[in-house]
Amino acid sequence: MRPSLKWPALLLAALLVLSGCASKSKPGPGKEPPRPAPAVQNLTFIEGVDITTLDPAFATDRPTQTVLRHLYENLVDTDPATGGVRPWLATAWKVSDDKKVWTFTLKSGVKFADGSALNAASAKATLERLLDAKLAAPNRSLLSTVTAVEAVSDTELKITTKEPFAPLLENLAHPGAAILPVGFDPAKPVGSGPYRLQERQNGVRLVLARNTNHAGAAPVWEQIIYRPVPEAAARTVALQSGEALIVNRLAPEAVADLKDNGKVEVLVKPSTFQISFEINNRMKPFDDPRVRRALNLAVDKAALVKGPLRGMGSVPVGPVPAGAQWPMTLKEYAYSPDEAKKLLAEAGVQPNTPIEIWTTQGRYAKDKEMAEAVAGYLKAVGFAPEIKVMEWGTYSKAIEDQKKTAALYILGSSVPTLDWRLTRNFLSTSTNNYSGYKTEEVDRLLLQARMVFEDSARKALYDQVQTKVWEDAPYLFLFNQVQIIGVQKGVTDLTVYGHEILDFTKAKAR
Amino acid sequence: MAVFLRRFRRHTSGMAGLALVLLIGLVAVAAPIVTRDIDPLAVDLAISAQPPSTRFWLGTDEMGRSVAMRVIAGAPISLAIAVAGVLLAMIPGVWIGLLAGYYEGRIGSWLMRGIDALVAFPRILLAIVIISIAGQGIIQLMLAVGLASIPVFARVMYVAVQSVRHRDYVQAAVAVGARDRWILLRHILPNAFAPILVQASLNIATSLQIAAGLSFLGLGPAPPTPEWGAIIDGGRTLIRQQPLVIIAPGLAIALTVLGFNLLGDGLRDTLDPRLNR
Repeated sequence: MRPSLKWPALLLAALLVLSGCASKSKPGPGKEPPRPAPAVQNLTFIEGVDITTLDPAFATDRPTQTVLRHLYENLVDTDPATGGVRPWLATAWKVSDDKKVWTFTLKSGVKFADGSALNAASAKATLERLLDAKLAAPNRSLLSTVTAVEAVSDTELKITTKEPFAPLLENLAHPGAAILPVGFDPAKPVGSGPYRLQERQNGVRLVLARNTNHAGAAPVWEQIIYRPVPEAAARTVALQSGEALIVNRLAPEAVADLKDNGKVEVLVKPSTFQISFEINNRMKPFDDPRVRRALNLAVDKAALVKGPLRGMGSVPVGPVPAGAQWPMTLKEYAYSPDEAKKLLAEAGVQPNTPIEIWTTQGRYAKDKEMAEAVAGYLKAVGFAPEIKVMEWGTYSKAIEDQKKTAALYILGSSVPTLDWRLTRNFLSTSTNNYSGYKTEEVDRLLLQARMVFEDSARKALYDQVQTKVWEDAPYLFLFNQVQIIGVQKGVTDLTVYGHEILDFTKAKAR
Repeated sequence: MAVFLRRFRRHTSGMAGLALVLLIGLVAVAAPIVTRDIDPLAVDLAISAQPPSTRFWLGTDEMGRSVAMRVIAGAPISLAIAVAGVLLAMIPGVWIGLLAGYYEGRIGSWLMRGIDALVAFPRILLAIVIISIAGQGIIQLMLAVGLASIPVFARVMYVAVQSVRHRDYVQAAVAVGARDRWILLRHILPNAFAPILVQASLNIATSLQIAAGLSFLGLGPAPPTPEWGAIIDGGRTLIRQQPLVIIAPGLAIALTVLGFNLLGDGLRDTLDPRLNR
């Protein structure tokens, strides 16, 4: 007995001694002064994941787009207050009478970080690069109906579309359509934004420095340091220790812990992220809208928000959450297991009908817990649920399969503009419509809305889509997420977009 | 045998281990009856993360399930995974070690080189590889834990066989023309089996730890299966509010591991042939 204990004990002691040495002798990036001094010039920002690319055409996740927002500029910008479109590199634009030709007037005198001029030729090169089928960029569908891009002069750009395409403007405001120099090289990214790339160590840190060639007002911070920290608890600690000025994606349970901490502040901001269990509409008995409505009624969403999410979220009242382009408030699917059972009986669903629920772990707030809770509720109305947990890579591939065995699988949608959000998810021919939801009415309305340039008329069409989708319940709408951002006390003017992009250029610290 | 029993009874820590193992075995056997009144799988978010009460005497977890009932319901699952894992490792492991140790020539060295290559990988890493190929589930977890432990048993058996391989009684059997199978099963296996028994007992403890570790990482059986490691994983976020969700299954793992380790140590001490002289 004795010898078997001696070695582990020695090893443990040795490890403790070593770890003690390590923290003293290795002042890594995490060991900056514990508190930001008043005249601090650098902003350290901690996210949950590393960025995936520096090429806008390939940037599909919000953390990456947050970084790219400081490096590049678009023709137009989303107004964080109204959700509408405002001028950026383009100062004005007009559409031809047949609504197929757009003319943009560009700001003159804008320079890229390397000193070269940004003009209509750069915009043409950018959009043509994005459209290039050989590049196969995921953001290519932003410009799906564009047939020609033409640089009329240095400051005039003409875009022609095959059919009238009302969402073009909002799509040009998407981070994927950021303007790049001619011959853009993703390995040496150059943009016209307020910052330029100084250093990148994959998975460790990324440093942005002020772009001295930037035309607008000089940004507040000398440098922006981006650091990925995957573990939520470690991010909370980094905020508490003052290691970072701003920490994104705190865990819901951290909010209560940080409440009494006088040195930090937790910002809870609305998000356009809605999390659902998408329902496999191709599978029996879930091809029946009554069954799908029953699923929505069987789950106590308010309890999910109050319990696992600690109140950090809200119960959906429509397929588009507040903060997106034109959200609608519809009648909530209030928790009613009795009504659910009645609907299921009406649809002829037998007790103990198997229902396979797929989830991933760590991608969405409390995703695995949500699956467990939903399984519990569905069991209570007579289903025989079975949960499968998959790693994100495997999971995201598996749900694309049209013949998947899952009846329910968790997924989120954060697109703030309605054309992209609704066509992606509910147009029957969309490659992103994994649920297999298909109605002629929604298809027709979505395609019609693209041709309508008058906002109120377009909104009216999307209202019809939202009402129909809500009634048909292709998803088990679960909850609307909130953004939980921790900042050191005294940080002001941080721009937080509803679709979870942050802009630091105006942020100030006391 | 009688000598062994008498000696084991005097081995205090070994007996304590045996008592612990029997106690946990009893809990595992009684689990279906104990958990009849309070369903360890019934989700009720209205009572999530409750402190201990008369109904939930270790409180409830995030999903409002009884922690006590989940830990009890987890006993047969965790034990079954560990025991099945050991059996799955022992049967092929023993045969590989036996054959490699007896046929010392090319077969033996090839077999053992293969085993050595596997020994080079940490067991948990091997288990993760097996899980990622086989997928998730209780059976898969048993397989992963078991296959990953084959090299340990093969090595122990190999060394044990080597130590008796050239003993006089084996040489005598060879001399009288006994067939290999007879020698292997009648002379070598029984005399090399004591270390395997010790190894098996100790291995149940490590298998349990590996299985719980894999479950904790989300590689175990699908929720809501109350495997002990999975319960700890689910309770991680409650560590401040309701630490019992973690402490209870943690303690269950610790006690079971301690029990099997003490039992294994006791067996080793009492089965040691050197004590016979």
